[in-house]
Amino acid sequence: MVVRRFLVALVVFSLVVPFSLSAMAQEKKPFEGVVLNAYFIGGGAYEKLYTKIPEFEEQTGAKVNIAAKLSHFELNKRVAQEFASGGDIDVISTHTTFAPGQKDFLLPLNEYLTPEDLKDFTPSTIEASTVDGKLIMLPRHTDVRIMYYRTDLFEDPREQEAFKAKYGYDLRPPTNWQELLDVAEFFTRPPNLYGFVFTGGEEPLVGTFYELLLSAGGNFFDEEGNVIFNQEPGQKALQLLVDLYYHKKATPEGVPNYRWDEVAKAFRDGLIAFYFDWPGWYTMMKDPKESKVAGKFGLAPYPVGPAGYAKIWGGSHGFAVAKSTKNPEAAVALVKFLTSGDNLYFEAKEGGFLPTSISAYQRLKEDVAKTGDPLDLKRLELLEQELAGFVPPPKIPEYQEIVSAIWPELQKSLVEGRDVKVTLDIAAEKVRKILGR
Amino acid sequence: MRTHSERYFPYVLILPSVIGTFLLIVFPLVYSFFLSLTSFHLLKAQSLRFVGFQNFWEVLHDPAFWVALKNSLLFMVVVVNVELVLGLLVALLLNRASGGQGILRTLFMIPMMFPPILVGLQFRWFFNDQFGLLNNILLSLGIIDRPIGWLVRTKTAMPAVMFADIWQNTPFTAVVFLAGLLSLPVEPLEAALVDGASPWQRFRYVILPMLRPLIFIAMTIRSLDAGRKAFDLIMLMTGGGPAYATEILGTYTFRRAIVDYQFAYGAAISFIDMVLTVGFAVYLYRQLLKGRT
Amino acid sequence: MKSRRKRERVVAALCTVFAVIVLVILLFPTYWMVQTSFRVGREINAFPPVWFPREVTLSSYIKLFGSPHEEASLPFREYFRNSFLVALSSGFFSIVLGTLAGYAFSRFEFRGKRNLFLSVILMRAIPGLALGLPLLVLFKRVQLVNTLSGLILTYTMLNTPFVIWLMEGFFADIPAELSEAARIDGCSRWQALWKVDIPLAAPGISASAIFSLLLSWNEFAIALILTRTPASRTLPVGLFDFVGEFFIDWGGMCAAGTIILIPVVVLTFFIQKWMVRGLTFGAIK
Repeated sequence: MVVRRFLVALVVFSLVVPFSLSAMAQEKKPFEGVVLNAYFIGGGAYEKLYTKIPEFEEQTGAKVNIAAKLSHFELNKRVAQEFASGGDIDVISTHTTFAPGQKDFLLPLNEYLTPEDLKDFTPSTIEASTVDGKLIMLPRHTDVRIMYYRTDLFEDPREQEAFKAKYGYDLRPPTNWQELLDVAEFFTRPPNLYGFVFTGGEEPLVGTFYELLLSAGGNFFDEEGNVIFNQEPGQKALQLLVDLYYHKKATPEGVPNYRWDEVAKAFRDGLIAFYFDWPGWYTMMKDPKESKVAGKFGLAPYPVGPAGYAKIWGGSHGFAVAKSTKNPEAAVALVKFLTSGDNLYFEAKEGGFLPTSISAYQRLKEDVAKTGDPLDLKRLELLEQELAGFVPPPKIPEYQEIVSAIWPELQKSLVEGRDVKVTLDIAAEKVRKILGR
Repeated sequence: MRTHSERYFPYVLILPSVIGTFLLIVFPLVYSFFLSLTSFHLLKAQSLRFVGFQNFWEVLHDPAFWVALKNSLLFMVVVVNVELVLGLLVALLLNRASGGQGILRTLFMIPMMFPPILVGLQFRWFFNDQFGLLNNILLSLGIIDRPIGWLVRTKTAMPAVMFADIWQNTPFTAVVFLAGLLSLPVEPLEAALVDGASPWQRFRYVILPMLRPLIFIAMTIRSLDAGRKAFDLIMLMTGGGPAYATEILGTYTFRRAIVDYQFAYGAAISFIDMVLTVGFAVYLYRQLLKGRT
Repeated sequence: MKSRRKRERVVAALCTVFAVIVLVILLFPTYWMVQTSFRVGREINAFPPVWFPREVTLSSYIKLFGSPHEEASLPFREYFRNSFLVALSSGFFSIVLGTLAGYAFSRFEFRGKRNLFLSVILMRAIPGLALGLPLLVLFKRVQLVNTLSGLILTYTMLNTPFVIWLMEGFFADIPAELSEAARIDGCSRWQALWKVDIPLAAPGISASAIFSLLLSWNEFAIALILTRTPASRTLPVGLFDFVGEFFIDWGGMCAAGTIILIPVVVLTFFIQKWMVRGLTFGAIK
């Protein structure tokens, strides 16, 4: 009797328990209790996207702990130390320029994603995010630079007249390097106005040099991987920067300490007549609270270089997952969430970025068409042209080390006027040594 | 006479410090030293290969290392000496002040209480070419007609970071000398007064010799930590630039170990740095012991 | 004779003038920072410079700490609490450890004393960079990353050598006969230390306290890599979070700097009298 009751109880129990368990599982969110340590790029426009994270936490039950929000340079140093000291890091911000160097520590995302997951990304950005056949990051937005110039200066009849009298041709946003030099010189009236500004410090200096190098018909390496940036195109590119900074003094003198934030700030403060910058500053620049040039600037294509064309350096920001993560599914889900079409559209609207999502880009275009703002239209048109032909930096793990060997040498020409050939030969020798190891 | 437990008394007193130091300072240091003998790279998973002293050998053949060493020496010699002289002056002045000693002393010690990172930020702003106060003053007085990039010219960048360092650390040497002045025995001074010595003679022949040991101590301390303390400052003001002009061993180590991810190489530089600093300080300390006996 | 006196008086006056100038230069940046923190934006980088603020505002502070109507832009209150806990605890521990060890070095002979004391002094030359990464590895193993305890332990051991050095010198100035007399009256070694030597060493302890607190309060590089949430971040790291913004928001930087300085300045004011007496390193006999 007791035994029978026991058996009945057992049967009932074994029937009920699985049901109640599965009912509980449906209640339970997929990543309940998971904590993800994230190391993100911080600063102004980048952080808008992170306001969407509570939505992810709500949907999945995971908790995202943003352990650091730093500029990309600071971020890379932090992330490298976290990787090297083992574990405790799940999701990072990275960039097509930096990800190849970090590849040993990044989870191949293609093992977790289906082609369906990737079909909304522009194929070229997926291609740029793939190293040795492994997709190591999901792109967020793409950066290519365009020219920003001050319409109140360029369209002022007195300025136009004075310019023509001095240089013998009409004032306009420069279309080639000679005009670039002339216009920069013309508008330089320190301490309240300078013709031009460029990123003269650290990695951004090498980026600027790289861009000019491409437009002069050169590159860092030839197809066999030989170092060639010290040849004639490289010399022309560096000479342009030396002329602008050292000889004509057409930029603020602090330029060797300027990185991305500082150049954009100088333009927003109304100190600069024209310069090149990323799409991401656009919204801030149009905001009269943040910018003295709101409503007073226009956009133009890059001037062509000695090679007869303008080639632009570009890359995509993105998110990656650390190989050491204990919760790869949750981490990949977060990266997927952050790069979803809806969220990238949100980011593009809020920050002025160029989304890597096809659907987000389409929506952005429709919005612009609807409002009909000529500057917005012009911007998308220019960016689209450049997206078709931009060049990413070499996908080699040593890139960061190469950059940090080159920039102090380039500065030597900038601040002391050292002969560009001497500088580039020294830099090239250093790079050969790094690659030869 | 001494009991068994008494013989162990001093060891009991130092034991906690020794254990703590071993766990949190010596052990990590040995670990770093071990890494400096490998090819350890922060972003290469398979880079922990033993290479012996190869990194050290490479450092000694690295021109950038010698530039940084030269800058470090120049930096240390200049700031330490200026801080000693200014510190002595300020201490003598404060020692003479009759009223408000407490407030005055507190005020002049403020720079040494600044977090170095804040000193860096402040002086980066002060010397900034566009928004800096220095250029602002010079321009408004009509002394210059175009802003000067103090931190980006090879000739002015080093003096600018030295200025910031001297500003922060002069109070330290001053407070050490003030402590010395306050604890000087009065008899020799009174004797000198009776002999009719002038203020200068009293300073030169009575006060200065008695302060001598403290001068060596202040010098030893500042030489030992000048490089370490200047690091935050230089990183924020110039990042070692322009073109290596303010690159000291500390910033170069950081560049190689963390920015370039070559941790092993950077560790090798920092150990060479440490050996040099320690050697210099031991020499100073020997002088100090001579002065003490 | 007379002309020499006169010349010396001129030199003395010149020295005083020079020293006053140095003092003014030492004080000026602090003045500038504090008054900038109360300025309205357009006066901050005004040309020509505005020497005394014409309008005063608390807006920079409100941005940091928030107000009933506005949320704080960064968790400064938490940073403040962390810095307090870390500085006070590590200061306390390093004084205990350092005083004990300093006493041993000053009053007793034991094997290896000279070399051990020399190595105490040389601890000051240890490059922070060689410590950072190994500590991160170590702390990850023992779950001390992102904890206040981790920082307290590290700072305690970074401070202890200097405290030992200061206290050794200070105990050397206190006549050993005093504690020996207490011993004859029946005190144990510990009681003599606690009842006689430690009270006499108060100036040395105040000096040690200030220097320990300053290091823990201001340390940046190690705190940066060992912390990762507002739960454990200290003020200098919090300051660095906003470096990018501070290149734009000078008022905010100056307000944060002023806030960071106030506690240590107040503390220094109250104990400076003892502190200055404590810095003799046993060097003046």
